[in-house]
Amino acid sequence: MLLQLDKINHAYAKPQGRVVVLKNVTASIDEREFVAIVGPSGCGKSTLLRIIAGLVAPTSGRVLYKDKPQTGVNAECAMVFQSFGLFPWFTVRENVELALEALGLPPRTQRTRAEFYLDRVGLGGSEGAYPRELSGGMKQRAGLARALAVEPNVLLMDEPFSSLDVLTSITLREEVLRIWEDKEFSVHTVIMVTHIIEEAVELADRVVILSPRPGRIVDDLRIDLPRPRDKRQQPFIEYVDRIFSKLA
Amino acid sequence: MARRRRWRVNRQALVYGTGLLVILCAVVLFYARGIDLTRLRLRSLRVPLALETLPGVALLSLGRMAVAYLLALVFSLTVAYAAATNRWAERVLMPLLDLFQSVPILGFFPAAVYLFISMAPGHRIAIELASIFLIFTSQVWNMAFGVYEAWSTLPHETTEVAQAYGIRGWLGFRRVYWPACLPRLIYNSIASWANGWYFLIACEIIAIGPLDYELPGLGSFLVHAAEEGRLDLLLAGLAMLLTIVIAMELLLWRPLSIWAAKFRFEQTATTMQRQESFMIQWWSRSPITRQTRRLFRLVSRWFVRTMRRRSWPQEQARLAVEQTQRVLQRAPQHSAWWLLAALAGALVVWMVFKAAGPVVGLFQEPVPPEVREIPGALGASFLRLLVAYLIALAWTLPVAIWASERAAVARIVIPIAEIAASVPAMALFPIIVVVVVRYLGDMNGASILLLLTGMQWYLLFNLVAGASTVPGELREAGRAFRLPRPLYWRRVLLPAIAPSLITGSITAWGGGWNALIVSEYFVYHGHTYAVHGIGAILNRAIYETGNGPLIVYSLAAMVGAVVILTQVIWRRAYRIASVRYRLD
Repeated sequence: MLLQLDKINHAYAKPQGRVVVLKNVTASIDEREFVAIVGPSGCGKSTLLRIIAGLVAPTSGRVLYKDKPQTGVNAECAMVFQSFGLFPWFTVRENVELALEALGLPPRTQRTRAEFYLDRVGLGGSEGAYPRELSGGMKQRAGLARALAVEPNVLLMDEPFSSLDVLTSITLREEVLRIWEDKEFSVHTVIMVTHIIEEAVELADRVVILSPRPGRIVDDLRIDLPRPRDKRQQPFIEYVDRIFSKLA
Repeated sequence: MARRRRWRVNRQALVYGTGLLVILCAVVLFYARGIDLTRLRLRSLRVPLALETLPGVALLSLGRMAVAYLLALVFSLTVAYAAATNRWAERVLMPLLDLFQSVPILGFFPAAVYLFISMAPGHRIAIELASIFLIFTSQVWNMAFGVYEAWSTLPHETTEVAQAYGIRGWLGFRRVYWPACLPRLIYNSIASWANGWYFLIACEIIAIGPLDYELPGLGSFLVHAAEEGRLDLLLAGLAMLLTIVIAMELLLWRPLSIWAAKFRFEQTATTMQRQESFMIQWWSRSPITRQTRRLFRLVSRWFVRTMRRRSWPQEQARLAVEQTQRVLQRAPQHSAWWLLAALAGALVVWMVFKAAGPVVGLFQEPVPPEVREIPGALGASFLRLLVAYLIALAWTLPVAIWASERAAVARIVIPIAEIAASVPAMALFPIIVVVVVRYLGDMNGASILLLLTGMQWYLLFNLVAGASTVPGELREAGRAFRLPRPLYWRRVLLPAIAPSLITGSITAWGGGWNALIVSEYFVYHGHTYAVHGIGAILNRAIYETGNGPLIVYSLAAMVGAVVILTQVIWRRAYRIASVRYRLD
């Protein structure tokens, strides 16, 4: 067992009072799994991802990583953000290098490693560009390169394709699958948050469905379809319909 | 949960109230027995009033301003960083900053001067330090608030990225926080410098009761030129000031703000438009600067490399940090903060204890007859401030909106405002007073005009900044639906700039209360120009009679009025405006 969520509860204090976002979430994730978390907006799925990353401490409950209770940010996870989270004052390469500098790597290693991963995600030649000069798809590639460059085991993705146009998101989804399957990369497990059901069924081994706020797990569905998956085939459509009925 | 929230609000009020108590105690401690500065044995350093001395004194003033600015910069960054990254620090520091910025500093000048001078009696350095401290107080609040605002409005994802990738500590400050505050810091620095120049005169001439002391500088030069009726020297001094302000704009602020555009988060078409600056062109193209930069890079790289070799291996450093964190986690939670709070509490108790005697003495003494005039005077001053505020609003609002709609106008308005705001209006007071009183036959008009010089620029700077953040989409929507212009102003523009209008109003009123002390009572060539007002009472009490009890009563009344106005009216208005008219 790679990761265990043990009775996670989470609540915010708001001026209007206490808002419960997650209620009694228990689940476990194995190594080499591709898990998608879906749910209506505001159900706490992004918060759950941040709790897994160690960015947010849950109000109650524990996160166990490799059977050890997690305190603080998990160094074996790397995160890809919905709005990319790139610093506008750094070039693409400097954005990646900053994450490596935080690891304490010497400048030369930072540079070669940043260039290696930028090349892998198809940004070779754009290293010197500033984020504002790039399209949404290229920005997300940069975000992906930064996550891969710290050589994590778990890739956490928060609605990674929501800010992209349809064509770009198709190619980038293929890219993510390729990275997950490729033994050359350190990443062996992917946890992705999304509100697009087709996206979850296309990519994931497992889909965890959360209820509207407060988010509880209403279903945990295994997708037994061979890859590459075809959206127009009957089994695919059936999975999508099943998830829809759970959410409605 | 609701109960806990109320406690939190009360805690902020507690900090604010404690700060207020400390200030009032300080007032009592310094002023209650009257001011006696004669034992400080000061020697005035008066430089002869002549054209030849002008460059020298200007340089001295510039030096004082620069030192004060650097101190304000360090202070602002430290305080804002603590407040933006630590919830505990935020709850203590923000109410205190809020209080300090609204207190009329001019009323505390003698106290501050006394403190500094008694540390090193008879030495020029003490006076210089006092003067620098006074300039510092006129620059710092605006900068600290600007930096704090830039950091507390950072996009949420940005701070999460830093957290997720472990970009912490010095690395996080250098690479994330420092760049992110630059656009706002530079914009607010311009206003702070203007404000410093405005108060330069009060900071270079220290005249309290029988004591008259001054430092050689541009401020004292201007005052003497005006007092002696040397119009030529007055103009020369002003020309020198304008030269410095314009040179700083062209050589420093303009290139810096263009460069800082790269650190903005929102990238709209208007911010993408590169402005021109010959400094930037020179910096990026000239072979001299290119060589300088190369040299700088080489030196800094060598420095970093040697430092790294000397310092701990990275892995060991990380382990040490984690070890201390574990120790801290085991210590009772927030013990350091409780310790600090206890120390601060002890200090407050000690001050209250010390002040108790003088307060009792104050009540035993017969109340000075002028004290009965205070409520009426406060009302009269308030009306004058209100008139000046409305005049300021009437011209700054249209100008700010006009500037936000046309980049060409903005490029002219901001530098002009910066220059005009820098003119130390106090140097022109004799001329304004004499001319206005001659034509209107009344000091009231002159007084309002003087107040206006201390209020309008805050409004303009804030409104221009606010109006330029109105999203282009909102403007386009207004145009697409063909909103009639009055409707567009009322329904789209005014709500959109409401938060900055209120921030500007708070600072403008703060500046106004401050300017009251010098705007209501004026002695020129043996002739006294005065109106009935709290500023006049305070000015006479501090600078002429040295009447301790009267100073305490009137200063306390003024601080009370300022605090009530900001807390009851402005803060509430700001909360409503920032919730209802949020642009996101």
